[in-house]
Parts: sequence; structure tokens; C-alpha cells
Amino acid sequence: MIGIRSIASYIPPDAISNYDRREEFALTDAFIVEKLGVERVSRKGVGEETSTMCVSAFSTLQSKLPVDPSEIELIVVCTQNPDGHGIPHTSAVVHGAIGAPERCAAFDISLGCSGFVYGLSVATSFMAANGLKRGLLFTADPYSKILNPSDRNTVLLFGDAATVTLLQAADGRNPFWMPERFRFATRGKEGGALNNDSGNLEMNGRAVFNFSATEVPVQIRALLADCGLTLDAIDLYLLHQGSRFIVDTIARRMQLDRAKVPSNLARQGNTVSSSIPLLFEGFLENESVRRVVISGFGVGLSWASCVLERRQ
Amino acid sequence: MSVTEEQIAAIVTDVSSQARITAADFDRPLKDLGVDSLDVAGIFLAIYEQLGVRVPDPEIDRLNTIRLIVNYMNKNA
Repeated sequence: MIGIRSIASYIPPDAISNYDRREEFALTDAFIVEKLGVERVSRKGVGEETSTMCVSAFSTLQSKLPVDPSEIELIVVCTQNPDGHGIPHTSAVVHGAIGAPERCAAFDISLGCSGFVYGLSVATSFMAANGLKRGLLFTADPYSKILNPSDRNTVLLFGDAATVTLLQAADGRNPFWMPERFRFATRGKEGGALNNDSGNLEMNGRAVFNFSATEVPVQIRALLADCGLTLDAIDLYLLHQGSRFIVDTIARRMQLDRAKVPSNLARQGNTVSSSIPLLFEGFLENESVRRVVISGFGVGLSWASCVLERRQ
Repeated sequence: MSVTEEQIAAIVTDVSSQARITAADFDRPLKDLGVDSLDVAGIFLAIYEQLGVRVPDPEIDRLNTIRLIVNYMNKNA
């Protein structure tokens, strides 16, 4: 049984405040707070790369609990904005930087906002199939590399961040989150709604909104039915933090208790595949939270959800 | 059955918590009623789900008053 032992994150200290762009983009404070939910977007430093952000997240993990790099047997990096031009794969760069042993497997996963959920399934399955005991799932997709600074649709929303999730078997002593069941979906024919064809991210916000608002509730309900669970049986719904508006819309359409649908966009923005682990990180040690749903949706179009339960 | 201004106004106020609408507002731009760009996406999704009319993106940008939406619905429903 492989699950989540811990999550750590790195949010670059540099940021751009959306309040400083009120005039440029004709924004009101209410729109910033109540609709975007993003007060500032984090931005990686000039010298930072996708891999160095991962390494910074790993350093934070090591400050939380002892993690010996020599014991790591798997490194997965979920990104669509890798180091350089993608060769070598960013996971190999991270492998070298943290001093993991040669017997450690390392590969990248190319996914956007559904990436953490997919990555969790891929990494835990890979570990179980190959008898691996300790793995690291990184998410780092610094969209600042591809944002058009004058595109109102994207530049106010997306922020840079990295996370690392420590995956291992339950040890009977420490909190441990076990993925119980997954659902995955893809709608490739509408994938152009989020693309990088021009060298800059382009987003058809209305199409992405329609897809998210309609399909995510359906998938979560189906997932819960698979598990024989009701909506009330879930302590928290950790939704991809696309925007405050989409999180609110999904919560409203599912008639969820809003207190069960946390949001943390304000400080860094939509961090793509890092948004769910960033949110989850704050609840891992909360003993009143026993069962959660995570749901990621976006680029692809791709969406994926998972029920996790807290075990000792 | 034709779509009424009151039906569309109800959808608008349901989606956009900021919107305040009376009959005198049916020809005013939605923006002036407190509807922002994200609300518009929610409004036209609700229209599709409740009235069964999917409005193409270029039309959505043009339908910026309740009266214009109603006219479009009654032509295309």
C-alpha cells in the first residue's frame, strides 16, 4: 500500500500584485477578490528553472522530516514547462541535483492541471508494481515562461510554484493518505481551449469554464458512487484552483458545504499541477480530516479525481 | 413558448450576485448592471442548461443586454 506521507512546496518570493494592474486591465477590487481570487501571482526568479524550483520544494520537505536522498527510488516530475527545451528530462536534472542514487527511476509526466491526480496514480502504481519503497512526485509548471504579459485572460491568474509529495508505504506511526479510487477523463477534440501554439499560453476561458463547471461535478459524483460514498461522507473537496469563480461555481452546482471547499489562490494564483498539493499540504496533519476528494481539470482537456483516506 | 425578459433577468441575478435588475434595466449593458466577464460565461452556461440554446462565442460578445439576449433566444430557441 503506497500513499502520501508528506507534501512540501516552494513558492518563489517574487510576485506581481493584481492590485497594481487595476488600471491596465480595468479591474475592480471586487473582481480581484471575489472572481479571480488571486491578489498576487508568484513569479520565479530570473535564475530559477523548473528543476531548481523542485529542488527548493525538496529542501522544504527535508526541513519537515528526515528524507535521505540515497533512499529515493523514484522521481517523477509533472511539468509542461521543463528545463531548457526538455532534454534531458527535468526529473533527471532533479535526480542529479538532490543526489539520488543511480538505482532510482526518474521520468517526467506531461500534463497540466490534472497532473497531480494522474501523477499520484502513475507513481504509486509504478512503485507497487516494482516493489519500490520511497518515491517523490514533483509538480512544477512555471507558466511565467509562456505567458503573454498583456493577455488579461492568463496573466492575472497563473502563478509559479513547485511541490513535492513523498510517497511511501504506511509505517503504522505517522499520518498517511491512501488513494482509494481514481477516475480519469480526456476530451482531446477540445484541447485547443488551452494551447501554446504561438509560444504563448492561449486560453479560451469560456470553453474551459463550461467544461469545468459541467464535467467536474459529474466525475466527482461518479467517483463517489464507485466508492459507495455520499457527498456528505467527504470532509474536504480539494479542487484545482483554477480561479475563485470556477471553484465557487463547482461548489454551488454540487450544493457542497462551502466550508468543505477551501481555496488558497490569493497568495500565488493558479499554479497548474501544483495547486492541489499546495492546498492539500495544509490539511495533511489535520486529524479532523479523514477523507478527501481531489480533482484536477484543465489542459487537454483532461480531468481526474481521486478519493483519499487518512490512515495511520 | 417564448423566453421573457424576466426569465433572463432571473438567470443573470442567480449567476451574478452583484447584479441588481428591474424592468427599467432591460436595455442597459450588462456591465452597467454589475455583470463582469466571468459572470457572462456562467450566464450563458445557465441559459444553455435551462433553455437549451447554445450561443456561439461571437454572438455572446454582442448580446450585452437582457433585451438582446431575449430577442436572440426567441429567434433561435
